[in-house]
Amino acid sequence: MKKFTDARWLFAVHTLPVSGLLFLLIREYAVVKHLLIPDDKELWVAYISVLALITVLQVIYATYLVICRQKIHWLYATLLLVLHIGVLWFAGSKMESLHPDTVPAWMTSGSPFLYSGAFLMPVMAYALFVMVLHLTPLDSRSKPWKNFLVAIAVPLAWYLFTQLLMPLWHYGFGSGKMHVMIVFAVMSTILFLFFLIRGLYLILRRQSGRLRRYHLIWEIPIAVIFPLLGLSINNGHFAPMQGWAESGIFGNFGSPVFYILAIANGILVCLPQLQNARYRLALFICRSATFAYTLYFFIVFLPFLPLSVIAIIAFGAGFLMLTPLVLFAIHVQKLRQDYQYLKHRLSATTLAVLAFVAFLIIPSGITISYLHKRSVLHNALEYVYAPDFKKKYNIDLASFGSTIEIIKHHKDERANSMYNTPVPFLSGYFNWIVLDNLTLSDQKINQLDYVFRGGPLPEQVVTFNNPDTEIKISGTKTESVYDTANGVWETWVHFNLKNQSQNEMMGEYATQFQLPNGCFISDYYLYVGNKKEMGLLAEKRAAKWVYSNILSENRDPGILFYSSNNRINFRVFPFSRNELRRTGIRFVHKEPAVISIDSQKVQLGSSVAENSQQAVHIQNVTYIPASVKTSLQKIKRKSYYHFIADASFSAAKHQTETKKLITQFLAKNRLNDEAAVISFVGTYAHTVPLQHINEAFRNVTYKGGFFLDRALKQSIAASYFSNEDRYPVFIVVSNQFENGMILNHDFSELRFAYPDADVFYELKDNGELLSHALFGREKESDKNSIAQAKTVHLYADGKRKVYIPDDGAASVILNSSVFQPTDMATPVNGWQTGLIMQGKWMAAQLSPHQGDADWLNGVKQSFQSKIMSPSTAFIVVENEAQKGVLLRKQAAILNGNPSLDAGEDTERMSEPGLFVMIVLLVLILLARHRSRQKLRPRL
Amino acid sequence: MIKLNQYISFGSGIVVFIILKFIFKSLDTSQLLFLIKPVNTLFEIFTGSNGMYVNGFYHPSFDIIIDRSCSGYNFWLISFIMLSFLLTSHVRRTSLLIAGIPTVFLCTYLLTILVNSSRILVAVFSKRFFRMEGLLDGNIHQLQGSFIYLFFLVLIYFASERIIKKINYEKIY
Repeated sequence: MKKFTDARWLFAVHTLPVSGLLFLLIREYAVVKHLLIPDDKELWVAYISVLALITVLQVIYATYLVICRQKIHWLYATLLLVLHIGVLWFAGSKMESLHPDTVPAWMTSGSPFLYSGAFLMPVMAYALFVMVLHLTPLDSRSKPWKNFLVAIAVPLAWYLFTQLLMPLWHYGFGSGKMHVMIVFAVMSTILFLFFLIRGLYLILRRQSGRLRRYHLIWEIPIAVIFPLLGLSINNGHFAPMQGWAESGIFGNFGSPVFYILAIANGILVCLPQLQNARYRLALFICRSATFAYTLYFFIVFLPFLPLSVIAIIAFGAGFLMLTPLVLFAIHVQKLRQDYQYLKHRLSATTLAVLAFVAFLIIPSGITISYLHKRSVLHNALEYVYAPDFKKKYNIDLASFGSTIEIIKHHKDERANSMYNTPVPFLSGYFNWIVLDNLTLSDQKINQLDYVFRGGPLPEQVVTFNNPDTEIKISGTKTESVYDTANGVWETWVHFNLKNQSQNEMMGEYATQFQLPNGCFISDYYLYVGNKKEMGLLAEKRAAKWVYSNILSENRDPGILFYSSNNRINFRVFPFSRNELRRTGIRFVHKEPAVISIDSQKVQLGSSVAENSQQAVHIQNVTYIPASVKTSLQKIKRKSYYHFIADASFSAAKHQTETKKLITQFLAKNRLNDEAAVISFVGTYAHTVPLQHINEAFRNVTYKGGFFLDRALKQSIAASYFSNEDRYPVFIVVSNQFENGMILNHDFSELRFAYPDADVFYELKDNGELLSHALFGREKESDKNSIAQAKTVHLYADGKRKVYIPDDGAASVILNSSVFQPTDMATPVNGWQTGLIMQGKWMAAQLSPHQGDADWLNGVKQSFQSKIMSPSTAFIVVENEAQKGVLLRKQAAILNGNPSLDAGEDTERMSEPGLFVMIVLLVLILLARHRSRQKLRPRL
Repeated sequence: MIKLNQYISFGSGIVVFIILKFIFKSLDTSQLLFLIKPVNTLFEIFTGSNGMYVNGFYHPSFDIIIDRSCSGYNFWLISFIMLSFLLTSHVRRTSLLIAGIPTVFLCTYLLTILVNSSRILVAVFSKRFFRMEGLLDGNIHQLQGSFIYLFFLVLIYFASERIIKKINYEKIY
């Protein structure tokens, strides 16, 4: 036990955790400092400085002790304890200043005080333990039960005080008296823990006589019964008070695995120490394996140790909070005894390696399971949101189901536990490994659940709304300049937005407008008060996340981003009654154009003299001006039927009716039968020629939900790539048409690939057709026949033909859907980069997996050219703190997706990590040193 | 038996290490050219590639960039600290120590250039070979780099230990 007073322990229990705490606090301070008043800033700096000073002094003293081979003196341990109680007290009493209400909760990742509690508790517990060791000499005759008695007397005394004396107290609680009470509470807690640890230490040290003979009498309750009881109470089976969180006050330990491990660990700890080498070796390995479990709960409960007294006073079962501490001590003792017994038979190295490997079993199992879940989830996400239409997917549904359930629980129970996470540490680990510290929106969870497990159909979330129709554009002013060097227009449009509402509520301006092809946004500003704040170009998800969070805090944001196919979402918040706000957007465009914003026509560019008269080719993209397009040949393509039959799990019972409907429809409406195809759509879409309809219906597998979105997108992309002079007419056959899931309301993103029609059809039970808009949200209308094909322009480039809409406006076409890494040698201006980004975005709609892999490059390209792309957004935030959060979130998102690195073109020949190298080198040299010592003859 | 002044040497070594590591954080590619440029020159000699300087040496034919992150600074740091420790644990005379440390500094600089060049060359060629076979992806060269660095570090350590012991032995007898 004297080894515990070795000064090297101080590095483990103090330097390491406190350095971690300092890192977190500094990171937190960097974000919140802009929102703090000067006095609070000083407090933060003082708190961080004091902690840093203590750490430095502590490192110097510990190094000195190590060099001089001296043990830790109990007085130093006492000093450490008192010092850190002081630090915690400071953090607790200044809580309101360190974390004032002006700092929104979403900006921080938790309370600094809870951080402090969790990180300082190891050194405090250790200091207490050192005091116990020094004050309990080996020849001490102190009886364990006497120590337990004193320990029990502490909560008992508090109970009597609160029940008998407090009611008689008539002098109130001023701040001074309150402090006296807190001093007593802290002192009594230390007293309680001191005698508890001492009693335990005496038991473990003696282990003789009756205690050893009847060890099972006290070991079984501590190792088996109390942990199970603790788990049950925590999980709400025996709620000790009303309002007890069913998901667990310390975390959600409701999984059967926790109970199974508790029983297994308890049994292993209680098994007798027989004098049989094989048995003891097996026991040692098994106990080392379950030690991970004991250690986990010890760490989880360590910060709450001082609360045990309060918990015991409040309700008797609070003593269970001490179980992890006691169990930890017993488990360590048992491992030590096994080791002592085995070291005469096996070398110390072999035993250490065995123990280490066994200890890693549970963490490795968890890690492997999480890695598998990650792979399954990412496959599922890829399949739904960034698919490779040519790849065959096969998702492990069992693993996917359990992963989705865990994510759902994490989202539901986040706020309930003391740690702010459902399962302390493990949830964070899960989020890190499986979700890259990001999250899945409820909408995505429901969509995935529907596609793969046939769960309830997710409701379409309205991503765009205009809640305040009273806020309108009251005036616009445009300034257009023609850049002759680059041959493009730059136009600033300044808007005055006015809230005409008499309502006292804060209003939000939200609108959408369509950009013409070849027109991009290159800057944005918003007046915040009298200050003109320029927009920050940021990653779109990060910007939207920050915007929605600021919105709930009534701050001053404005945002501009692509919603779909050249459609821009424009929002400004907040507006008070009659408030006028000024904002502006800069457009860069090739030709003069008119855009319509909130029914106001805005002219971009002024002179017709600079109209572009020829197509522009840049990399894989071609810009065709309206004037050039009119000279192209006009044609009407032939059509063929593409039936989309519902093959979801719930559609299996309607198979005969579906087949009959199609057969009857074909009998009435014959049309190019040879080309006609049918897709069976459940989780996956499987397409076969219609000629084999009977065989196809025989082989169909009904699985998951009706993923209509996939079937249509896949088929439109296939039709685009086939480059034929015919196009498919989509007819959906399903008894539950409304169950067909469409991800983003419509298919506007693919409009350029399907210029011949605007609708797809639903074949109703009565054999009639009902048309639905493909591009837009117009309601369905009854139609009895297929609409005629629209006229399209044919753009021929060598062997390749591209069909473009006959709409009198400029078009952008792809020469190839595969983009090579950006050619660095090609000088490109902002407009050209915008055009390339638009081309890449179009290619990404046809091959989403490619777009996903190139996403990071797209973001970088947008940042470099300062042109907004579909993966970025312009956002105005109010202050530096919000900018800090935006950048932090953006960094998390940019680093989050594992496919991002694959998108990087140029590989860095980076060196291996420094600390990994040092550790490996030290291990090698130590191993050599040890082997040399063994070889050296002993004199 | 290790004496107090050796502890002081170890301590100073660690302090120097931490300071140098912190200095690295503030250095950009242009300030590390004394390490990167010789490595790039060796790389060009062996591969015949011509690097273009764009905040690092970009080699279009291999599609790689030799910049700050691959300067070899970490290797220099580890090898310098390792050999300094070795020197202080075997050499007693202060005058020898004063002369030895700068020598170690210079020698490790030269070694860093050689080792780092070989690491990059191995990484590039194995990348080409394995990519062709479809066996390798992404950042495996980091693992390869660790192996090469470790190999050379251990080799340097053993060789230096032998040399120092030999010198000590000759001085005694």
